[in-house]
Amino acid sequence: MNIEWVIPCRFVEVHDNLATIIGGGIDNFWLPNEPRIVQAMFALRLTAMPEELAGQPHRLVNEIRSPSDEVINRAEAELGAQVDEVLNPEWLQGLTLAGGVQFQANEPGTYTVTHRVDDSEHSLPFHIHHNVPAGTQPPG
Amino acid sequence: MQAPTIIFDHVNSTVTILGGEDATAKLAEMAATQQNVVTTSGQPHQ
Repeated sequence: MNIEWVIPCRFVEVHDNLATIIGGGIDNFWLPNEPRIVQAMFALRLTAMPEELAGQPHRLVNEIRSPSDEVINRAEAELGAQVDEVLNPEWLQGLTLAGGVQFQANEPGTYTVTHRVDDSEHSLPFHIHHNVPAGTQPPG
Repeated sequence: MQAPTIIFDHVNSTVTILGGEDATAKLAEMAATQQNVVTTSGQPHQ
């Protein structure tokens, strides 16, 4: 199983294996208040042969690294898929997942959010600011 | 194929796998709690 792409976003829903994404591509987070909790959603596209999907569960890892490249936390889940119908069993199958991630960002800087599935890996930079963009007011 | 929604909560060290309406509700809850956070794309402008 491989990671085809990961899109960080403000909101995502997946229906019929299709992702509806709002705010896809966010990578700067302006946190004006304590606690500095970063939350983001992501759309994750995996590809695998049908026998991989129907076989043993796959290990999905999400890891957060600090601006100094230290691992803040690592979380793991077992991922299985229910295959109802395969039109072309000799082709790679795509599996679209919705997900969310949250972590505490005690210092500003670039954090790294990494997804791993089996031997496939994809990393995203999250640029964290402890203020709001110049010339803007905090929402709400 | 039906796919789950996976929430990695590194603040509380939990991983939650949800499906159906539970997943939709959790994602909407996460979006609501970020209303005071500005998110943008690209290089920061300061």
